[in-house]
Amino acid sequence: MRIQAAGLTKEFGGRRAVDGLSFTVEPGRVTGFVGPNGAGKSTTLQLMLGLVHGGGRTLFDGRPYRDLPCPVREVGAVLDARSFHPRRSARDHLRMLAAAGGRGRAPDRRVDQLLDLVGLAPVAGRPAGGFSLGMAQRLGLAAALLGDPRALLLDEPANGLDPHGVAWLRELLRAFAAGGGAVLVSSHLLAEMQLLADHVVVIGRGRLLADEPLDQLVGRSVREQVLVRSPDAGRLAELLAPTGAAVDRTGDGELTISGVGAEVVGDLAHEGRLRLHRLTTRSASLEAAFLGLTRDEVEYAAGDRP
Amino acid sequence: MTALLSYEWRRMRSLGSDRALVAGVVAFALLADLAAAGRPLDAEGAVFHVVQRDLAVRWLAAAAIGAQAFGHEFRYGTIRPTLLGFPRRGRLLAGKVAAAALAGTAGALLASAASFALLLALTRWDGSLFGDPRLWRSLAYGAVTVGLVAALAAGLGALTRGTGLPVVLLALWAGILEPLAAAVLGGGAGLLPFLSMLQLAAYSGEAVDLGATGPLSAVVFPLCLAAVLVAAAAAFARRDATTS
Repeated sequence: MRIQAAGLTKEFGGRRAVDGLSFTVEPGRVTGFVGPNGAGKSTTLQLMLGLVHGGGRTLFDGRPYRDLPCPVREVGAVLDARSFHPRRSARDHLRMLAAAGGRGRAPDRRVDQLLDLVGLAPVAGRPAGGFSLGMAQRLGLAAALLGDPRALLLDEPANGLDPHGVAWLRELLRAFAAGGGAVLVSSHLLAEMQLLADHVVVIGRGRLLADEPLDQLVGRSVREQVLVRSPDAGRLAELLAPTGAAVDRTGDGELTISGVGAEVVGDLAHEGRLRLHRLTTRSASLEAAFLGLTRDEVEYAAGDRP
Repeated sequence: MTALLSYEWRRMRSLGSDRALVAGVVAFALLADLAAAGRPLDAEGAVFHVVQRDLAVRWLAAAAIGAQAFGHEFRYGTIRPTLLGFPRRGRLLAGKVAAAALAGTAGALLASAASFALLLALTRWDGSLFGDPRLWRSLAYGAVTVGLVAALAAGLGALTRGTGLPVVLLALWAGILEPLAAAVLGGGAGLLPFLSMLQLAAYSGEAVDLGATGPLSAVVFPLCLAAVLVAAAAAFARRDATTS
């Protein structure tokens, strides 16, 4: 399923939360949706699914969500992990939602399969109000998968999951995409997103900042850097000057070098008989790319000191 | 619509509060029936015990069940997954109102049947009791009025996005405003929504001293319900699906 969002716009009290946002979620890959707090990620997902009203439109294989014949069999979504009645059991919650798929008794078997899949089978009969955030996320994910959909829209699904849960979620979503499904997943966990996403959509203050393959974004935004600590840092900087490398003195005896690889730095130090106490490479990261892209788009920035 | 009714049935069935309300209405009727033990029972007496005596209690329980149809959805944020399953809001409202009406009517019929069965076991009666058409008419109208109150509460729940407020509004309307109006208006008050339903469900067509209201009484409450539902549909379609 291909998901096309075009011109999405939403205002709250005259303030534009989402501003003409357009992007496409392709099948067979995981699309990460990232942005600072208050950038409009959750609002965008709600706009796409018709839960809030605004400008623009989103088409799921050419049709708006509300026109899909049986939406839960086409699109699974988790927008708020705690969207359940606290006194209803996990099994009853899923059985209720399964009725939206209209498949008679079959959903009950599907419910039990999914409770097993997400690891909630032992607590399926307990009221969901007692669940931790991680358990609630698992219940939400089971709800999204109930209709065996072709696309998943997930808002911060890794929040509250333990490291095993995060790894499990990553494998689940990768397998879903590998099976031809389309996945749009928002997250603040950029290191996790770097492991999960094939493509990223970055927004800030409701506007699109980037929409490109993850590797391209990361590679374009930040070059690889070489970190050096040496008692002869000054001399090493002089030796590096003819290579055109950019050298920053980041501390006492420390250099951050970009423009040349670690091999070049090591060879030059060897030729100059300079001592190196540290020679490491810092790879380009989504976090660095994200911070660079959104530097001026942060809505809620923390102060320097407590 | 079948999927939506099934969804609502599962929603209501899985909540202890809904089950407790229905059980409470049945238990109330059965306990009250004990007072009639050993007495003779005719059709008019049966209508009093099985329908009229408990009508206010049943309306109140139906209002609570109906108000939960939307009130709980907004309170606990389940309106989002519900709308993901049923994104056409007008259809969702219609389905929820229909489900509330059906649940209210079925609950009232269940309570009446249980109450009637116990009365037949406890009292002295003869076969002519079952041949009186006014008995069956009152039973049917009584159950329908309970369903209509549940539907009205569902509509008010969609408007107010709450569970308590619709019940309080309906209790004030039926329990205070209409009796006050009846004291002022006299006979004309029989055409007020709740009083008209009370008259309809009565054995003689005259539950309170307002005179029989005739066929017009059958449309007063449905008209009020329609007005509330139109307002609820407009509000539900326009507002964002945020939690209360």
